Amino acid sequence: MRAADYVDEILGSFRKQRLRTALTSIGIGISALTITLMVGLGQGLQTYIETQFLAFADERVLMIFPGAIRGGSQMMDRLAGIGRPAERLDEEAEQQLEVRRGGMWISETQVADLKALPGVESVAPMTWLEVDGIELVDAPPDRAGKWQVDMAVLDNSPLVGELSAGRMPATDASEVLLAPQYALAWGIPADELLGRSITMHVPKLGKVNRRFLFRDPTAFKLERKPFTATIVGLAEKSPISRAVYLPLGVGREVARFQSDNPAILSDEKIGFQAHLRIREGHDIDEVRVEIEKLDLVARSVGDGLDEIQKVFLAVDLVLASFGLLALVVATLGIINTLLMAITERTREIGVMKALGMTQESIRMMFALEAAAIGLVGGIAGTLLSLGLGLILNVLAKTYIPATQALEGYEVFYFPWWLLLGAPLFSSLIGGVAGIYPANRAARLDPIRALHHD
Amino acid sequence: MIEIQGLTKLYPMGEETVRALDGIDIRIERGERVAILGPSGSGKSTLMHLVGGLDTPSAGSIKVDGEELAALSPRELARYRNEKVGFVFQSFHLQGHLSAAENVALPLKIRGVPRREREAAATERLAEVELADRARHRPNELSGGQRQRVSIARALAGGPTVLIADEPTGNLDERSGQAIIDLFLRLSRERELTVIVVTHDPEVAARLDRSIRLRDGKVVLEDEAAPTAPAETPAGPAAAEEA
Repeated sequence: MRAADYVDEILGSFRKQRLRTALTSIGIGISALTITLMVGLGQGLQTYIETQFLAFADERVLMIFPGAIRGGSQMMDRLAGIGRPAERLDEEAEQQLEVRRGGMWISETQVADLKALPGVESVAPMTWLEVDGIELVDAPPDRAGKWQVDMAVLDNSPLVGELSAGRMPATDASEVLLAPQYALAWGIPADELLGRSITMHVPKLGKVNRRFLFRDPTAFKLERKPFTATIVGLAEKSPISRAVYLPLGVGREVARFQSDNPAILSDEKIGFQAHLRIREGHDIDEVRVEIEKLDLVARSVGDGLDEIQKVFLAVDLVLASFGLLALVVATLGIINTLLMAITERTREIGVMKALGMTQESIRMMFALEAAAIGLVGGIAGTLLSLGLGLILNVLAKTYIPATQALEGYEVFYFPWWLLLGAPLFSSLIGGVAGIYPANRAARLDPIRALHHD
Repeated sequence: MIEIQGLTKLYPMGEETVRALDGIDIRIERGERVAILGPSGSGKSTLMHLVGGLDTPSAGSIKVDGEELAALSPRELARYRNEKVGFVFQSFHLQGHLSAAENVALPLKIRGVPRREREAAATERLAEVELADRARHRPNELSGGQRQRVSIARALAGGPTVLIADEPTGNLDERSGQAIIDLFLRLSRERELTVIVVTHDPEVAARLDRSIRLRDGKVVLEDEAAPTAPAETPAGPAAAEEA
């Protein structure tokens, strides 16, 4: 048979069993709807996070980590190492432990080495400190008290980017730069904040291992000290929503108090990591290779994006699995519909065989019919999900108050591959579901089929 | 020409094996009109299925125009049914959702003939069975005799050399039945078509060239002339018209 005749046969069959075909398609449609909507939800979130990420990311900026950070993977080894035998602690292993505990720093020499590499425009070491809260000095009564801080970042100009007001803090001054979120929360325009002061409440962590604080309540009764600094600038945007950016001067004081170590942030330990900017016209990968030779680890925006995408692939799969479950059920519907159709049309199949239709053609006809049911349901479900998603997006914008943090967030986002892929996938699944019934139809004995009641 | 030698068909039936055909030898010349007679269970349907390529023999050989059917693959058998054989069934087996013309065009559709071409062919075949004015009618809008003529037109559509009819008059009144046999005789003469009619009606058999009588899977009688020949109307061109 010709391709057009297969289409003809399938349409004819749809006409003969309208209700049954429609119901089966609805089953497939519901699963396509669920899959598209769920993946659309994941994609909405992913797109938002990627956009936010890329807004601050500059592909010419690399994050540089001390080589010892590679030891971080050993932590996972340790957690995953169930069933490992006891091993002797040899000199090398002991040395590695030392490096891991004390070596997560970038030294002045390393920064100098990095700066000397061809194609490197600037290198800025970075350290983050823990500040429990900040207080606006002479704040209006309803803005008084401590405000939360996610991170206090020490000396890192490349991370901040454009300023909305003021300037970068001077290296040795008691000055700070704030994330724009504070101006918004305090309801004070950015330029009016300039020149005012904040007090930072800094806990003394000393030699306490910050990650593994023993669960002894007294361990949390840490000594705190206020540090005051003048606001000299506000960032236009900040990758860390509630961040305080400190210059080396006040930052060093805070860090030495916090770590209870007067040697910290000296030449040998000037940052946990560094931001390195590559000059225009230089190949990023070539510079990366040079950096790795210095026994440092370089990560780019792309690496971060890769990780985000990996996480969201998992998220999408989990979300889509609800739809996949529905699809399995709908597939059984297709099988059932076709088996019924074949039983009803047994004599017809017998006649077609008597008239010379091959097994292959009959198999093809029924498999295509199943795929067509899948396609119809898939298209309907996807379109419905697109409409529903767009309506929900509008509703979300209407009912969720716009905050700066959620600017540009679409709850459902439908990339073209999803809109194209969902119906095709439904069709493919339909076709697969059709294999068994189609084989049965193809194998019917024509003589028995002709005498079927 | 159809040459059948030592044709045997066995069917497993529970513990036992039934010999539906038990080593029969038959030779049918091109253009010959043959009746296959016999009580039910004698093997006449089995013989028809084997010659029509709907089934394969357990032993023996069937050669149609020199082609050995027992050696054909399922795909080749399908092609054989499509090109060499036309089937006419007692209960017509027309597709209810298709018009007369669409039913007639089915073998050509299966063969992959373009729509326009097969529609033209279907119209010609319907004219040949004098149903040109019924082309757009569905089977349920036609009388029994008309339906059988549509099914004959369908059997002719593929341009076969052998026409196999299974009790073609069984569901028709006497006049319509007569008209169908007249039609067979005329087509056979015009197209040099071999016609095999399975029947248990001696009057139908009497109008054909030869009768082959089967019993228990064996040929018991091959007869040039019908044994109880009634007033035999030589198949004239003026085919009786039915109601």
